[in-house]
Amino acid sequence: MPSPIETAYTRVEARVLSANPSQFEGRRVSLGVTISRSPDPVSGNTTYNVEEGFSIECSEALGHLRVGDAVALRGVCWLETLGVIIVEELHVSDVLNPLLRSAPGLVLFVVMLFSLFRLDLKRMAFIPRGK
Amino acid sequence: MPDLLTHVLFGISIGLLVKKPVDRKTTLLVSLGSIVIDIERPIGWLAEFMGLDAIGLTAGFHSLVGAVVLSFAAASAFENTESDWGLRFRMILLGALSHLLLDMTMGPWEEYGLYLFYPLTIPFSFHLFWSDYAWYPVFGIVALCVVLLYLVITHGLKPNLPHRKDRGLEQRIPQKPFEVSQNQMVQGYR
Repeated sequence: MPSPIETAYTRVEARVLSANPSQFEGRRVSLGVTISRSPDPVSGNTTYNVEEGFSIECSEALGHLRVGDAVALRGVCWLETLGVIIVEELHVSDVLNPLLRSAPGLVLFVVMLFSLFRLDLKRMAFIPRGK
Repeated sequence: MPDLLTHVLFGISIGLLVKKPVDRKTTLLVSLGSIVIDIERPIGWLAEFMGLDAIGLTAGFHSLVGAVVLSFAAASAFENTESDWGLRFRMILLGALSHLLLDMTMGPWEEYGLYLFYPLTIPFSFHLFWSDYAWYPVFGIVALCVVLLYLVITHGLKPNLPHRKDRGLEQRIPQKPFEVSQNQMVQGYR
């Protein structure tokens, strides 16, 4: 069975963190953000702005992020002191790919649904075909 | 979430297994349950478009209470004159639970997981893959192939007779096609 595991990182919504940074100051946090401004790659640490209204700082070793990248990150929140979250670990999610792959699933389901049922708009209910 | 294709394929696979002989309606209901939880996506987009705060929507829908409530709502979307409401609800709930189980494979980091007992924020997960893992649909296809193979081995490739009856096809099939009376034979000869 899957079980809850104790972790050093607190999972937090980016908007909650943005609205209340003092609550998480100095703590290890885990959150998802979208990059809104990406400076040119430089050696050392790079600071990125995110759509949620704060900045994150990544080391060169973590790679370069681009505008629009959806990033899951783990880091230490220093938003009040330094104005950034110092990223320790990240994963760039491919947001578009799962959505594109969902389209055939949706089509398959809709075809199955309407091959067996029809929508009766008067009763707002699905009625078996042939009734 | 893994993509809807994976959820539907797993839903169809489970639906094929739960009722014998294989029933298309049951399969459809389980696959409906397997995607109904992700209705939070369009609702979330709509809420975002309207400027509403949708924090907790994903967690609420991806919980045990969310699965029961959404299955109830989905079961109520069908004509209610038949007495099979309970069965319909159970099949949709089965699909919804398969959705939660599949979603629990996501989130390799320990703090990730589904809040099954939301509003308690205790994450449950197997911590295997990220949600954009490219092999998820392949898992779905493999699951469906395994189930189809199992059905062929255990039941053979028999036609689904109850379904043919439903459509009235059996009336067109003569019961004894080669039995001809002696009188008819004589008339045919003349």
